[in-house]
Amino acid sequence: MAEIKVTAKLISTPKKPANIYRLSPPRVNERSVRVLARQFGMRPDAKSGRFCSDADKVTYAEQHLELAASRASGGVRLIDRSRWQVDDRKSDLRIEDAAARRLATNVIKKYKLARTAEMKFFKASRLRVGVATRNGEEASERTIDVAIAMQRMVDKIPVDGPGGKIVVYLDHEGNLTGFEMIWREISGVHRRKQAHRSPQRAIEEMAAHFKTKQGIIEVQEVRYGYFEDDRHTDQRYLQPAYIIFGMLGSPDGGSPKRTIYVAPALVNPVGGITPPLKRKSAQKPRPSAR
Amino acid sequence: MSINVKVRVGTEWVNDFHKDACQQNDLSYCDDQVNGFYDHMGSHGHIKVFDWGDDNAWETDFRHPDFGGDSLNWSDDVHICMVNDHGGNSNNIISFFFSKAHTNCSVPSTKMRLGKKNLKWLAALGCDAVLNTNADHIVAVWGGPMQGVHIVCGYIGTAADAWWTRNLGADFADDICDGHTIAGSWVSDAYSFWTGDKSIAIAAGVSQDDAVNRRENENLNWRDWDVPATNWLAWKYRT
Repeated sequence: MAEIKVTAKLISTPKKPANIYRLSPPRVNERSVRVLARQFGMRPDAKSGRFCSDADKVTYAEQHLELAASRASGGVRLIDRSRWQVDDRKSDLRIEDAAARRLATNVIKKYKLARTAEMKFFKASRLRVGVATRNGEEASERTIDVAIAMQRMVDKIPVDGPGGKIVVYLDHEGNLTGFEMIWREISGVHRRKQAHRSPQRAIEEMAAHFKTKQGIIEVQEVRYGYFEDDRHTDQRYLQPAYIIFGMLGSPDGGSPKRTIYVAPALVNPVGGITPPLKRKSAQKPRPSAR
Repeated sequence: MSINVKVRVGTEWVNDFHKDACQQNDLSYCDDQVNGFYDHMGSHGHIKVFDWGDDNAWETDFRHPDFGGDSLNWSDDVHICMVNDHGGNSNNIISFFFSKAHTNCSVPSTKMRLGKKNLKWLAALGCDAVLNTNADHIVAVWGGPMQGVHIVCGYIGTAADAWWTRNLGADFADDICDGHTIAGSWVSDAYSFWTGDKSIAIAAGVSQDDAVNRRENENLNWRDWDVPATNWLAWKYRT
């Protein structure tokens, strides 16, 4: 059984009760993507564009622009394939986070992606390119884009997780090359003013989750927020959660790897969040030689 | 851009380690990432050659015959290989760790000759493909092992083993089969604002232009455009 060691200072249990929200099921089809395309300045009625649809997403492409909407989440990605994360072989972007954030906010306003009062700056990430000879000579590096992640806020509580964000990509001139957005629509309150359980209870839930595993999990950080899942997931409720960031280690100090466990933060939640570990099916022994 | 070639695909993953000399902390989601990649590559029409997990994943599959290994029949007998287990990097040598000794518990990069036969692209999803982004370190780790392989994908420092990144392999497969570049797809798909995963892709080239061109433009259609000598490395990362 995995041993749990808490090295982080645990956050205190939130005193103010919180709501659980219902999320609207996304309706992603050719018609809805057509509406989005118009919102983003594309011309989906022109003959030059084309729609492509599969079980996962609906995509509309027009010249270099590619708009994709995920069926499960309604998550959207718009990129200019000729410029998104592309190196022009010379540019070196130098921009402070504050300036990048202002530019990203302007993009979000222009395309009416979300209300700026419902978000805060999360992080800026830079795409770097480098080159050198095999011996390390003639080395050089440049920054070719900056990606700004804005985090959703609900009831002044941050929305944590892979969703609940808008990421805006800017090139070396600060021009938009693409954005991604996972921001599910709230349809109403499911349960009002619910009390919280303690973060310690969430850690105990994590210990039970990993009971069949050997090793040590060092809990390094516990965060609190509404949890919004990734674009692949059909999520129906938005509820508060404790997000536990841990480092996997072994008694003899083997190689580490990080782990993340997400547990409901309320006493009366809507189900679990991290799915149980699946039972592994036994593999046939491998032949000794090919 | 449409992909006009079929590539051979091999994958290996380790979740559970033996409680012996090979002991490491167990992992939980390596199979999800790798099997998603394997299955999605197959659903796009590519050739599924092997998918070895836990005790069936062997270090000899990556060790070159010059060092007693069998890489030319496995990792280097496919065009694209994804391996997901524990990785460790010390003194500019990366090692992949396996669940049990066959013949050893791990294989160091000093005993890899990636691309000597057929391997064009390697995605190593364990930790520490590089420890940092200093040019000296990147070329010291990968300049030796890259001997014909076009692009290596991995992480800067530690990677997450979590339910929340289980779709990485499937997403990466879908993107590269859709014609997106190998390096760009990896860096974009594997980077996570939330989990803290920092992705890097390293391209080899006979010249500076060749390496940069591969980093920026190479997709699956470049399968047969060989790298006759790894004289330059060009990399791309998000941090």
